[in-house]
Amino acid sequence: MRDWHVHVFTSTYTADVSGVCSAMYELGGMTILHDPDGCNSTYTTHDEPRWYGSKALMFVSGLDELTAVLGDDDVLINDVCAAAEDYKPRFITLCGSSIPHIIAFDFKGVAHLIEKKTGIPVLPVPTNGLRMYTVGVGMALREWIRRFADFSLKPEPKTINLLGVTPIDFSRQELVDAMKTAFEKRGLAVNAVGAMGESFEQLQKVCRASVNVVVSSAGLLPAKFLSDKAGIPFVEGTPIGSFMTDKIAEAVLQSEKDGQNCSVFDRGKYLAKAGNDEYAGAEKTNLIIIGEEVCSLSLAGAAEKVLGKDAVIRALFPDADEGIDEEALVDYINAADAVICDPLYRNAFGRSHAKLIPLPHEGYSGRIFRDDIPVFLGDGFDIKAFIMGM
Amino acid sequence: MFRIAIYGKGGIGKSTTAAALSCAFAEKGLRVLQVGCDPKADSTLYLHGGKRIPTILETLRKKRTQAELEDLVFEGCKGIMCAESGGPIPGLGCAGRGIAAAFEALDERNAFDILKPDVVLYDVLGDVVCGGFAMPIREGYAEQVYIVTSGENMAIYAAANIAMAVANFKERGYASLGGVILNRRDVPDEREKVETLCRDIESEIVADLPRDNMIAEAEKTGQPLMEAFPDSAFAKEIRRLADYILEHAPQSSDERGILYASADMEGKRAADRCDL
Ligand SMILES: Nc1ncnc2c1ncn2[C@@H]1O[C@H](COP(=O)(O)OP(=O)(O)O)[C@@H](O)[C@H]1O
Ligand SMILES: [Mg+2]
Repeated sequence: MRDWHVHVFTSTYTADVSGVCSAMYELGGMTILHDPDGCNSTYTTHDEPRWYGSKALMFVSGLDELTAVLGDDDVLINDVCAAAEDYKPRFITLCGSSIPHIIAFDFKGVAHLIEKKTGIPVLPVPTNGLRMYTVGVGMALREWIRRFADFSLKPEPKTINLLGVTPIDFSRQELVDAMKTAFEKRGLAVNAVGAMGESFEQLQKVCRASVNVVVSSAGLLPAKFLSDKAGIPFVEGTPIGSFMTDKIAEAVLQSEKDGQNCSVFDRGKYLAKAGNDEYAGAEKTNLIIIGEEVCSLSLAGAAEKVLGKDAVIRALFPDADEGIDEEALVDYINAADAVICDPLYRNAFGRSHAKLIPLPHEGYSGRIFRDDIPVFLGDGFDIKAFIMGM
Repeated sequence: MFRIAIYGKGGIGKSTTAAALSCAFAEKGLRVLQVGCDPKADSTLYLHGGKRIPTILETLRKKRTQAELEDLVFEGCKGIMCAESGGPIPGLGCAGRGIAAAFEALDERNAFDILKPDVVLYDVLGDVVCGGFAMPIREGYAEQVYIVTSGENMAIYAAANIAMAVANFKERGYASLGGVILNRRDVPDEREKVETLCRDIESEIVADLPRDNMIAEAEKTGQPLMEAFPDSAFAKEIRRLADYILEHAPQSSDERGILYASADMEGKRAADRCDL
């Protein structure tokens, strides 16, 4: 990926810190975002649909210049201890934005100190505020599992976890339930969902699953961790429609048998090359899908089933650091017959005649199109109708 | 694997000591990684025939995420793996953040899992002036700190400060003090003065390195002293020190290292790397 990009009309994807808050939201902890505040209200106003409906302990530390420059960590430590005393959270997550990152703030060391003072487990999640939510969700879940999972549990057959599940990708609980129902219909018990509509106690039993299903790239870090540490293999894929859900269910049984990690889409085939040195303009496509990596690639697989093997289908997804290269984005839109993307991408269409098939993504457009997000998961989703425009 | 950090005042002989120790460990058949953490970037100079290797930060600036592990770590004499963090243009940027960035770059590329060193030496700029310079002694990096000092007042003063920083950070799970390395400048009452320091900081002198002109002679040839003059007084004392360090290496440090050395770039790379 080259390191310069011009962004004129595209939005940015939700940042890593919001990912941390989102993943930890329902688990009963207190989350501290070490930052001067200010723009972090975007978490509550744009990235967190649950904010006005339920309670969670999310705090910004209010780091100021002198405290940062002098490395006066005691300010944060004392504030967190005081807040912990008031709210008595079950655990504390400590993440940070770009300023702590630049002064090489010591997340682990400070976590130790707070833990010693309060007796409450503290999870250091050294985000830098510069990367995509998928990294924040992944780091937070991995740290949580490392700390709280019961590694003595043995995997049970035909039992799965869904990893990488947050409202940033799957806005409403209804969508998560659609995934669960679809897997359960195929004889796979859903053990734990990391982490949306899930309890602390249930997520602790994460090692009871024989296979992890990574339904968003946000689930890759914890899946890799569980694969390395507990020997639980993972399958990458989002259950979009019956066809992809079938494929995932098959892959789960295969992984359960051979212990291998796998994915249900052909990444090399669908990958839209963009933004790197080899990029030499967009190829002509029948359909281009823009959005989060695992969802887009899965959707590509689902679309191929409908459009046929000869259809040229590509997925263009953001890099965790650089986002989507705008030049490539425009090229791909211009060279496509149809585009599945968040409606906020409409202003990248210019004079393109490509048909825009809207699939709003909370991680890109926040709450703007929240109510228009279809239940695109499980058996109830008719891809053909979705693409052909009913 | 165990990891040590060498601290001390500028010009006191940290790099000379670190490079010699690396050679001594390598002579014992150990896989050694030496990481220079000083914008001067001369820690591993004489392990490379007096020629500079590209620094990690230089390479990152040019190649960004495309930089591979082999662009950052270079094999020097006796098979010693060498890396220099490097630093910003003097007077600009942020040297401390630079060291942190260099460390993160190695972590992101799973350097320790891939290179599998038995011993890692961090050679760190003396003054722990900001968070970045404490990076090598944080959890997941060095387990022990060795301080190099002579009997000169400024060197002793710097050593005392470093010892204090190590003590302050103990509660955070940082490295502990392994000992004091006396590198002689031949000032009056040298050993006594350093012994007094050791009493104050509750440590001990673990090596008494003589002032040795052979070091300058070796530097002229571009070779490390251990290779040019393996029988010199300095070389002999270094071998004793290497034995001491090995004997006093903390047990089971691996778990601590691996647990947290996990990379935050994994998030994006995992997908690329897994052969799915
Ligand atoms: N014991 C010694 N005898 C003679 N010269 C020494 C000795 N130790 C270090 N030197 C010289 O001192 C100079 C500074 O040493 P160096 O290792 O680069 O210091 P640092 O890394 O602490 O800045 C070098 O030129 C080195 O040759
Ligand atoms: Mg030096």
